[in-house]
Amino acid sequence: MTQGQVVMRFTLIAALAGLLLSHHSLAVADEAAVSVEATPVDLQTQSRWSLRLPPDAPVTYHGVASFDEAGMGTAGMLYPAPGVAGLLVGIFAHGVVMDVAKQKQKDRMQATADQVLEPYKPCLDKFTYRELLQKAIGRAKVGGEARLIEVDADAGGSTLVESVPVFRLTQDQKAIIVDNLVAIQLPGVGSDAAYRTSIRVISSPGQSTDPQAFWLANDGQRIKDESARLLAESFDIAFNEVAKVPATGSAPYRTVRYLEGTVEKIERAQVLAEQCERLLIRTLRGNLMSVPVARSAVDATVDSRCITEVGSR
Amino acid sequence: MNCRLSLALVTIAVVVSGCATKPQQPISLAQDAIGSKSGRVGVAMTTLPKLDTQIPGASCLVCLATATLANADLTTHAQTLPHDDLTSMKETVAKHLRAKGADALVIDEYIDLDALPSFDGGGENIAKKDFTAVGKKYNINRLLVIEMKALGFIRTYSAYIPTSDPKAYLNGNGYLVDMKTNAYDWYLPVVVTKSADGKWDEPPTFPGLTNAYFQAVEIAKDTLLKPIKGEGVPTATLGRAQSPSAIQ
Repeated sequence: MTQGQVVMRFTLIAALAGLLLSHHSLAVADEAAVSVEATPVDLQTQSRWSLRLPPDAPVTYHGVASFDEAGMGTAGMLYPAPGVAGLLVGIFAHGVVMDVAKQKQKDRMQATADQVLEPYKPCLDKFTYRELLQKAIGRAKVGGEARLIEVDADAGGSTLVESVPVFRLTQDQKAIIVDNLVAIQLPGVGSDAAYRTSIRVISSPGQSTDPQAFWLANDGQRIKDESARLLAESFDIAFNEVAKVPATGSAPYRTVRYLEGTVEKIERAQVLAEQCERLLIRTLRGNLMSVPVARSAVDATVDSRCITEVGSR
Repeated sequence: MNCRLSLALVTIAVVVSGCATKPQQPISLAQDAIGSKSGRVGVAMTTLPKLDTQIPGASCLVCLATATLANADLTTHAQTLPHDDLTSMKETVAKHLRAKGADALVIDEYIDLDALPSFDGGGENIAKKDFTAVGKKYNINRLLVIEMKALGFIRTYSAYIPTSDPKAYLNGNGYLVDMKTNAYDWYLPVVVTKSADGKWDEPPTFPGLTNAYFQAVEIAKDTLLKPIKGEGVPTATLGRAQSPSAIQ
């Protein structure tokens, strides 16, 4: 092998590595852009808070999807490569095509999972964020006096809370999940210093044999009410988290099993609190989750605080 | 010419048939094989594999080097993950065997399959490795083996290009070998792949994929324990657990 060939081969390998690593770097940069810094604030001293309305639109609901089987297989590829430049172009084109194909496959999987919501569409299409937040704000138990403010309004000296909730319905239609990205900003503090976190709340599995009829009764009042209750619980968790209740401490990470509808799920997490057959856990990402567990998994004492508003679910 | 052609065809046939080793098919666990009349049952694990990132499909040498480099952070992280939840499984299995009336013995040493001799009297549903020496050493009638072949993450490739996001990956078998005959009384292959919830590319600790790893371990444990507990064939509701042939 001549020196020129060696140089060319190293150049090719370096170019390939750079091409693939650039994918990686972009993803890392993207991830860094959405990562959040938890800045401790003392919400206990705040007696008023304002919840800013998002632009008015129907609340986002999806069906719970699994991407365990996503992937395009391991078929080989022969690159028509008239020279090194041609080979690089071929590999680049292959990468672009594959990225598009992978995303399309995930979109298809999500669209298939979303079919579970078809019967709910007439009801949920009319359910706006304004209606949801109005329902939820009155149900939050901590954080003091609350009010809704318009998307461009000032918080008027109160603590400002911004929220982006997204809901999902399990495929067995037994449970609703909210993923709420919350930002809590104290008065006089810049938005970049706000406390931000992601909170997931999963409803306890319903007992109805006809969950669709259950949720859609009275023009979908139950699915709306339960969504608002879950959102309010996520606000309570956020406020408590800011006030460090319960104390985060250094609980060991362990494998936790919980219910998502009738399906048992697993999460590696710190258990922060146990009450009413529910666990509050902190995931490896540092996010909080309030999850139901099977009756046998927690020796919960049923008291009046454990009775849900939806009652007979 | 005809002679050369025939010779070439025979050679190809021999090589191809030699490569096509029939994989062991699953065998249901007869509950009397682990009951009070089953004799002494040893419970052992094979030597655990190094946690790694599998990159099937990156078939050429440069593809393999590029894919290895691209996933180096993930592989480094994989090697920091614990597998205590798997190693404690022997005790759990023994507990369930004892609950069924079996005389269960937990074997502390890890069985190195590569160090075991091949079994001469091969046949259908006969273990390819000779476990009889283990039987004699521990004075057991049957040996329940938990074999982990691969552990960590998997990311499929087509030459240089990844065709999937990395996922947690576990590939193993559970089997029960009769020490008199070296025949399988039970054989269950388990392959689990579990995707991260949301984004996967979160170096250096990869929390989403780390969580998926622990999920995969639990799914594999559930899958292997269900027949032992007498709960029948698992309905892989927790994730994707299936026969190896179905994996992408």
